[in-house]
Amino acid sequence: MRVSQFEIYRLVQRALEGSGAPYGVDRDGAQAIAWLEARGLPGLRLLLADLPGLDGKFRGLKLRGEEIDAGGLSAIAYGSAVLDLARGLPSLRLRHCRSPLFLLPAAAASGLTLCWRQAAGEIRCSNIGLHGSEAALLDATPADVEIRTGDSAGQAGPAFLDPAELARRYDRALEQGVEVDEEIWREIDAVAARVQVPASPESRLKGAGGGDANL
Amino acid sequence: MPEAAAAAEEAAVPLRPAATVMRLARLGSFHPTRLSFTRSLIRRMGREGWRFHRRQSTLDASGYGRIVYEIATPRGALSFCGFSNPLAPEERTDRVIAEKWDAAFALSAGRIADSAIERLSQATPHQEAARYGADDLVLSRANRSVRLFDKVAASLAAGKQPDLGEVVEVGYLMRTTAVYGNGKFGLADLPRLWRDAIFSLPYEAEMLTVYMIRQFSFDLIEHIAAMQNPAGAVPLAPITRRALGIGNATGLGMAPFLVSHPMLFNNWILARETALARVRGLAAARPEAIARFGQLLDRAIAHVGQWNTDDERQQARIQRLREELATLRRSAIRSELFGGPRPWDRLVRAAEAEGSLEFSELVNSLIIELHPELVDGLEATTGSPEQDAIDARMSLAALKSLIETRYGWALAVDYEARPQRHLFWYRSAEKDEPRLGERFNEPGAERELPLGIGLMAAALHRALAALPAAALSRNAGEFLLEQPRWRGILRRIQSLAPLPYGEIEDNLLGEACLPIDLLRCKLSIFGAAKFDPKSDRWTRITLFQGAPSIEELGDPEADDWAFPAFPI
Repeated sequence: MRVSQFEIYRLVQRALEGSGAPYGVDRDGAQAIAWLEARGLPGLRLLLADLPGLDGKFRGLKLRGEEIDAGGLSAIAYGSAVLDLARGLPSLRLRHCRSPLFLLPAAAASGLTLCWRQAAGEIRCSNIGLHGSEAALLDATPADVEIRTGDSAGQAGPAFLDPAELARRYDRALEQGVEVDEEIWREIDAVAARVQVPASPESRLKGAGGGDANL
Repeated sequence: MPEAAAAAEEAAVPLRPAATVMRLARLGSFHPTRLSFTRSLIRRMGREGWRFHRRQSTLDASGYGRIVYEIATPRGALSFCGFSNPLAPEERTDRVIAEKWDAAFALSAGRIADSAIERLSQATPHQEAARYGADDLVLSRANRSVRLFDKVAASLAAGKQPDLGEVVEVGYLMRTTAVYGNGKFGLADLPRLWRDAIFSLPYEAEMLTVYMIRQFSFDLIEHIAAMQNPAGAVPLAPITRRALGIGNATGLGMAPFLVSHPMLFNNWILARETALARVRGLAAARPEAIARFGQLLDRAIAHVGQWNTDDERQQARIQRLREELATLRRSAIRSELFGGPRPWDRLVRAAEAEGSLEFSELVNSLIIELHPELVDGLEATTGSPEQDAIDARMSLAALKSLIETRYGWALAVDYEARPQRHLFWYRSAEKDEPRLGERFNEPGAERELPLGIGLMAAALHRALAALPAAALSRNAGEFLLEQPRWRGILRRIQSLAPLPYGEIEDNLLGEACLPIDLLRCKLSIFGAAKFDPKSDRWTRITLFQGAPSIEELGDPEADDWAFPAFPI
């Protein structure tokens, strides 16, 4: 199924809201996943896997020195808040961060470098591309992520996704829409539907849904 | 900067304060201006010489079938498909929950292939229930006017023009009930529209779609009349065409937009207020501007005279407006208005101080109309990427003080009082549209949309005020990390700080809130007129009544259709 980026945004915003994400956190998460999907990265798949662990668990985190412990919670719940802080610090260590890929969109927008290690290897994301293990990028297992201002010397291997390719993918998404897995979409949509209120006779009586202008 | 604009800058008067402009009652009294999106579109199509070609028409004797138009613009081609389908009278409803319509439409990028036309002919009659592609820009549907359509067709078939009075009274042959863009149902995302650069202003593609539906309604009715009487039918006369716009029935679905897109809304209001301030700043009224004002005032008087509604509240407002305009006309004839310095400024201030809101805002629209050279360039400022950001380093003390400075209107409300929390906005499971409920009488408040900006800003202020003094030196970034529940409202407050008109300075949850005010504000910015409220939650309006038709876009007078009135 092909969808627009707007539809991804709207689906995810509602699914997060339906899972208890506060106003603002839901919108950041939605923007992050639309960004990833428009670049061929599996934001929706990761989100579906993370949603059960998020339900009602959107909580605050503490900055201790230059370190934040996420306690294994998905980065979709706090990624933007962490990166807001990281922009003002030379470096920040985010411990036990599940699905670090969700940090990538806001980090890319701020010129921050992310670096972490999974079983498959090391991954480094910066404004010169994504280097190291592609499998590690997609691994949701909680990891410790180093967040640095600007780029740092030494990459974790050859780039498997450079900025030009990311831009090409985005252009293609605008031209053709984004191909998504219908089953994943349906499952997330079921969570998103929690934000809707069933129609009631009262609401219709009060003119909701417009009226009939023929008369 | 052109000389005239430079002169106006020198004499600039301050913008009106948000406390005056951004009140629901005033926003709900707006009239269209020359910066309204319908006006900008007509000017642009004329200026750039857009060409329209009927590529295909397969309408049968009853007017069912399709018309496909090609639109040539300097930056590429567009295709507009209109599909007319049979509809049983009992299926014809304007409610958003309808599932069938008289006609369905799509605006697409480029010269689309025949296979795409076939695809759209299958999909568009199902509207929201079908899927579209990234080349499809806008989707819409419309119903024939029960009051007018058949009557006009019969009249044309009989070889005579329809009664102009009736045409003006209804104002349209077809009425849309939704115009969708911006990626809905798989349509093109907005950045795609901007990238192709055919469209550069907000809602431009949607307004073009409505304009093309108008053209479709002309072609359709002339076809039906010709089929009924091939030898004797006549086409619509130019004056009749002018009198026909496109109707629209707008409900609550549109209302939350102004709250959820505050940067865009700011830019719309800022353009309008800047235009007004520029004209108010002129040191003197030139004779030609005075003459033009008189001409426009006469037209506005006639226009308001032809504006009627069954809504008692609105009809009473119209009646008072008629009287105020008549009084203004008497002053204008005596020219007492135009002596002394800054006459336009004095007129605006007098209307604001002594007149009704309807009158004050109509005077503003007239004043803006007088000086295109000071105003029209502002249309380029009406867009916004709606990018907000958090300033994580702002201290909580500074944040608290910012709320006190900018949200005094919100802090003054006692939200503990039930009437101040009477309403809540929610998404209905029925077609997913925004609706309004009564918090203490209806279920669903736990799934409330975050539109009570005043309530949220006041709650954040209370939370900050409860912190120990030492904690106020901490920064917003750490605060949000620890307390994510404030993220949305805090970002909004920070992002809107430099913008004068981002917030509606009224409690949208209060018992006194009239959603119709939000609808009218947005619709007037689109260019809608003849507001005809059917309740405090939905209204009927007309778009493009008085606008030139596609053959007239290049005429020198094509832009002169503010406050259209007709000889009836």
